[in-house]
Amino acid sequence: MKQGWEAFGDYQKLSEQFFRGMADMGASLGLKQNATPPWGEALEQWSKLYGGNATQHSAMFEQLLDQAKSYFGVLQNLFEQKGKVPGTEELRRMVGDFAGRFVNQEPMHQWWSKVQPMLGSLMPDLPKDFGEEALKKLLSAPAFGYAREQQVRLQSFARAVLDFESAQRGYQQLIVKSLEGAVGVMQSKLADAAEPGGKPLATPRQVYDLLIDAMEESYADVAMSAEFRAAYGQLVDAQMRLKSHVNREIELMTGQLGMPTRTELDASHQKVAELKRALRKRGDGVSAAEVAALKAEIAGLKRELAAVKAALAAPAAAPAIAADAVAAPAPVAEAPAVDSVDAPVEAKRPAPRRRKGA
Amino acid sequence: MEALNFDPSKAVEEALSFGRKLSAGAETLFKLDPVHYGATDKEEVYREDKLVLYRFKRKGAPKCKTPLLIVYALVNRPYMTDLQADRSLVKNLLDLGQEIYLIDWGYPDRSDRYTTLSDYINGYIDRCVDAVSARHGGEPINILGICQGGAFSLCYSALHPAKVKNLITMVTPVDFHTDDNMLAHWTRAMDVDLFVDTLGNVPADLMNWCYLTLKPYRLNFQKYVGMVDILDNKTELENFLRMEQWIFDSPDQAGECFRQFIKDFYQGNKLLKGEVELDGERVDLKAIKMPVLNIYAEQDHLVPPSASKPLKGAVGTRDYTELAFKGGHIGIYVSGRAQREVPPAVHNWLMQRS
Repeated sequence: MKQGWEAFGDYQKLSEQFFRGMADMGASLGLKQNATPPWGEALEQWSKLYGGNATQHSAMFEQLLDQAKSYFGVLQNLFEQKGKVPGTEELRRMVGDFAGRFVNQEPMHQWWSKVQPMLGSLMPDLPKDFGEEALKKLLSAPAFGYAREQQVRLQSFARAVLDFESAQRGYQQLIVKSLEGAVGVMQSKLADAAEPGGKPLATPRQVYDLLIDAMEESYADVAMSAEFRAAYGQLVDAQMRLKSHVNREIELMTGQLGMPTRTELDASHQKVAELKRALRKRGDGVSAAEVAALKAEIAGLKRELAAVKAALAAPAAAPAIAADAVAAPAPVAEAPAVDSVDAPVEAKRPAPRRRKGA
Repeated sequence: MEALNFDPSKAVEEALSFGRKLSAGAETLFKLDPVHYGATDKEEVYREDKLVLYRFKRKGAPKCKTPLLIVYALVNRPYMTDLQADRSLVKNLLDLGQEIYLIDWGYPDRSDRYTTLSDYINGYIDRCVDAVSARHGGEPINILGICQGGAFSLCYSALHPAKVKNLITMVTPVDFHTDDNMLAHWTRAMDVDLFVDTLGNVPADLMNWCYLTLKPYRLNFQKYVGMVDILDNKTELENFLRMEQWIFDSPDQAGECFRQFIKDFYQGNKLLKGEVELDGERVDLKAIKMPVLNIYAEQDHLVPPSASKPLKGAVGTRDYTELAFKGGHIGIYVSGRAQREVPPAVHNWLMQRS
């Protein structure tokens, strides 16, 4: 096989051949190309070509191209190696490319990246020439005077920023640990493939798929560890503490502008929810009372029926009574089906006045 | 022997072929009409707040006289059960002779932030059950609970056993503390009170991200590289996009309900311990005496079989049936195997108990 790679020329040549193919395909669509584009840039140009098309699926295509780069990253590494089994450094480079894309997509990471510049003067001004520990110490200093409350708030906000950054680092370190583990897992899988009876990888795509398997395997090991659970919890909690500080500062600002705040709106929502619940319960109560009344009525009718049966059994019973008795249960049949629970207790309660429309 | 054994010219051809498919895919993608979902005609029979109870229309009388109410999870949308004509649990069950109702929870907003677990189970579900039952002579009905909706259905059936004739749970977690449950593992160290107090409702994006990070490389990368393989096939591409739409079309989660669900179920494992309380009443799974069919998926990474199977020892019924499906959490609705195996199994089980 090595002969084949040598015969084919160096990586640059392979790259050019690939890109020529891409360019030929895109030429009819107006795609312009760089003189010596790397693999990933070919896709960038495709992305630009379709970027202006605001159809429902353009975002999907953008995402697809972005994900495709992960495959081309692997492909590029393989071509650079001219078909040799990638070594530790090459594998590190391959998995590292995935890690960056993965971590940067995290929603709270993205939220903070977007929100931070918008906060402007609401953000505490953190001195940059302090170490983290010294800064934390400084932020724990007691506040006093007229602006004491504001100072305490801002110090707490600043500590939340530091905690968030620290928790993020802790989480990312474990992601890196899982990726380093993936390198080992991949090497082991490659070694298995080279064993007698093993299954050598016949296409770059198989290498890509095996790499994904290795990364997932290593990630699952790390993600199920107690260490990861703790780091995950710390990250989520730190994100929430930071967000609650941001929420509070925005509330204070909107309050100063005379606008209703999230807390006020939530309080209204809570009251409405409680009122609905109370109303429903009251409605259920009326319904239960109605059920009790019906049960009492049934009990009364049963007594009447028993009396009628007894009267019929007696030779002197009048036919008119029997006719009444047969007609009597009719209203009961119209009663809604109910659970027959607590009937004796409910039946003893006085029947309330039936409300119209209840 | 070398681990890598590929021909360089073929490798370049693979890359070129990938590019060609991207090119063809771009053409196909921009020519596609918006994807639609929901194959079966349905009618609204009850509405409350954002909830809508639907009845799926059917031709002719049903073979099974007891109606079946599908209780879906709050996360994701219930149209997964009726995604498209050839991938529809609902359609298949209708064709077999079931009368089917489904609860669509809608999309909670901040006004729903204080909706509790009890509001959902003793409130919404109970009123839907009553609405269905009232249309069928006031008799107890059959319930099919899916995933979180299965956990809700278990609670409901334990608290209102007289209203449930047969209970089916699909990919339903019961034991939240098994060793292979990554989602449960992560939630146990987080401060849920701080989480809900800060966010109010839990944004769908956060939920989706959490699910994606269960298998980050497969779901964020490999899946889309694999998608390139079908880019030149309009039908397959539409199917793929329909699934994508379902996966990311997620409602926010009502804060108070989420708080209790995570605390009691994920962190406290109280469903299995019999310690969940709703409106002051304890949820005792032993009170479930009606027949139970528990269906789980063998390759489910969201609700591993080990989380579902303990239901057997937890319920009080003597009529317990288990069905293992060879597939994953989503494949159990949409795969070809699912169409062949799941609806007949559900229908036959119900008919034997109708």
